[in-house]
Amino acid sequence: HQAALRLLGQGGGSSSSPATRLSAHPDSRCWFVAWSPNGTLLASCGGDKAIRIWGREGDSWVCKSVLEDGHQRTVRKVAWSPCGNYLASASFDATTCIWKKNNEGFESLTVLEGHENEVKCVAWAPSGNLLATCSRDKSVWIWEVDEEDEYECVTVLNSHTQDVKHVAWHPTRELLASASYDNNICIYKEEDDDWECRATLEGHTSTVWSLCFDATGQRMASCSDDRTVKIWKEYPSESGDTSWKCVCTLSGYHGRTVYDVSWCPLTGALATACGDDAVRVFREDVTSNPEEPVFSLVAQVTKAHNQDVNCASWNPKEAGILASCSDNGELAIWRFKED
Amino acid sequence: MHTANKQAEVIPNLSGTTRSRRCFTSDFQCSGTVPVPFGQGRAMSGGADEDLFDNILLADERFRGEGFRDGFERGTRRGLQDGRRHGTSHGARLSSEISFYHGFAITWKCLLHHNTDERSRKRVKALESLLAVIQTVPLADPQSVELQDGTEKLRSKFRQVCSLLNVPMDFKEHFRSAEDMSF
Repeated sequence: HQAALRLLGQGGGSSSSPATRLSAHPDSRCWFVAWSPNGTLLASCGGDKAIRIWGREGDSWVCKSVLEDGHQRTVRKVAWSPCGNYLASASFDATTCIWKKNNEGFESLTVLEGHENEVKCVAWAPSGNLLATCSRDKSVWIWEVDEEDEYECVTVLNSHTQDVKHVAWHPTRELLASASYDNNICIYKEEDDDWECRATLEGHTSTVWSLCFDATGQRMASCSDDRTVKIWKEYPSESGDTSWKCVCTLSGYHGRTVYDVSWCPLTGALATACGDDAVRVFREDVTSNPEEPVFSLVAQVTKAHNQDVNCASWNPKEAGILASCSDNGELAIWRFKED
Repeated sequence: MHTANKQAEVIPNLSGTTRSRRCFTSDFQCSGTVPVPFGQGRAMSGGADEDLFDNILLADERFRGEGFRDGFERGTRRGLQDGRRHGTSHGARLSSEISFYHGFAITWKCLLHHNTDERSRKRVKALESLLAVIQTVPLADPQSVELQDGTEKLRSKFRQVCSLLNVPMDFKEHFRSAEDMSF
C-alpha cells in the first residue's frame, strides 16, 4: 500500500507554504516535543533552557507561550499531565519543574529536587497521581501527587547500572518501564506498598534511548543506539507475574542511532526519529502472526531535518499528524497519509 | 670439570629405584636427564662419595624448596595481616554508614513521634520502613549477596526518606558558607 509523509500543509493547492517547519529553539538544540492530551497544543523544549508552547492559528503554528527561567540548564523533556493542566519539565540542572496552566500561560508551581545530576526524562502516569523521573545518576524516582499539588517521593529505584535515558508508563496499568545506557529495559510494579523492578529486558546491544507502549499496552517498542527498533510483547506466566519477550526486531532501516520511537494510539503506526536526519513510519502487516509480527517501512523523509532528529510524537487526537524536532533547533509537523 | 670416569656422571640412587635428575647449570655440563637403573652406579663408589655428590647436585633444588616454603609461610602471614586490615577498614566504613542511617531514622522518628498530621504519619511510616530494611541487611557475612543488595536498597531508601523529610543529601552548601565566616 501507498503512504506518504509530508510537511503539514504541503502538497496542497496554495502557493504559500504554511509555517510547519519552525525555528523553535534558535541557536540551540530542540530536544523534545510533546502534544497536549487534547491534541491542540505542542510543547517543545531545548538547549536554550526554555519551553515553548505552540498552537494552531489558521494554517500556521504560532508560539503561544514561552516558559523561561524555570531551569538553569538544558530542558531535556517535557510531559503533559493527563488532564492537560500541568506540564512537567526535566532538566540537566538536576531538577524537574511542575508548571500549572493559567489564563495567561503557565506558572512554575514547584521544583522537584533529589536527583544527583541531569534528569533525562519525566512522565505522568495515566491516573495523573504519579510522576516518574529518571536521571544520569542511574536511578528512577516515582513521585506521588496529592490534592493540594504536593509532590512526595514514593520510591527511589536503582535497577540500572548506567544513565537512565527514558521512562514511560503503561497506558492502562500502574506499570513503569525504563530505558538505559546499560542496554537494558526495566519494568517496575508496585508490590506490597513498595515499587520494585520485576523484569529486566535484555536484547539491545547498545544504549536504549527511548520506549513506548502501544494503545492497549500489550506491546512495547524500544529504540537503540544499535540502530534497531525492538517490539516486545507481554506474556502472563503461571505464577501470576508477566514476562516480556522480544517478538520483532526492525534492523537495516536506520543508518544511525534511533533516538525516539512513537506508537500512534489511533492508527497503530510506528514513527522513529534517527541520527541520520530521517523520520520513518512503519506499519504492522495485517497478515502477520501476532506472536511474530512483521513491520514494514511505509514512509520516510530522509532529510526531515538537516541534523539529528531527537524526537517523534504522534498527535493523540488527530490521526496522521506527527511532530518531530532536531539538533538544529527546528521542529516540524508532518502529515502521514495512507491510501 | 670433566671427570675421566664416565660413570661419575651418573647419579647413584641408594634406595634402588630409578629416577631422573634435572640438568643443572653447573660445571659438570650434564647432557640431560640420566635414568639410573638399580645397582648400576653402586659398584663404582663408596657411601661418602655418594652423599657428597648428592649434596652438591641437589643443592639447588633443596634450597629452592626451602626458600619456597619459607616464603609461602611469610606470604600467608602477610596476607592475613593485609586482609585483616582491609576487612577492618571496609567493615568499619560499611558499618558506620549503616549505623548512621539507623541513628538518623531513630532520631527523626522521635522528633515526629507525637505529630498526628497525615504528613508526619507518612514520614514516620517511611522511617519505619527504613529501619526494617536495616534489620534485613546481613552484616555478619561479608560475602553474602544479600549484603550487597541490601546495602543498595538501604541507600535508595535513605534517599527517598531524605526527600520526604526535605533533608538535603548534599552538605556542600553548609560547608561552603561555614568557610566564608570569619571573625
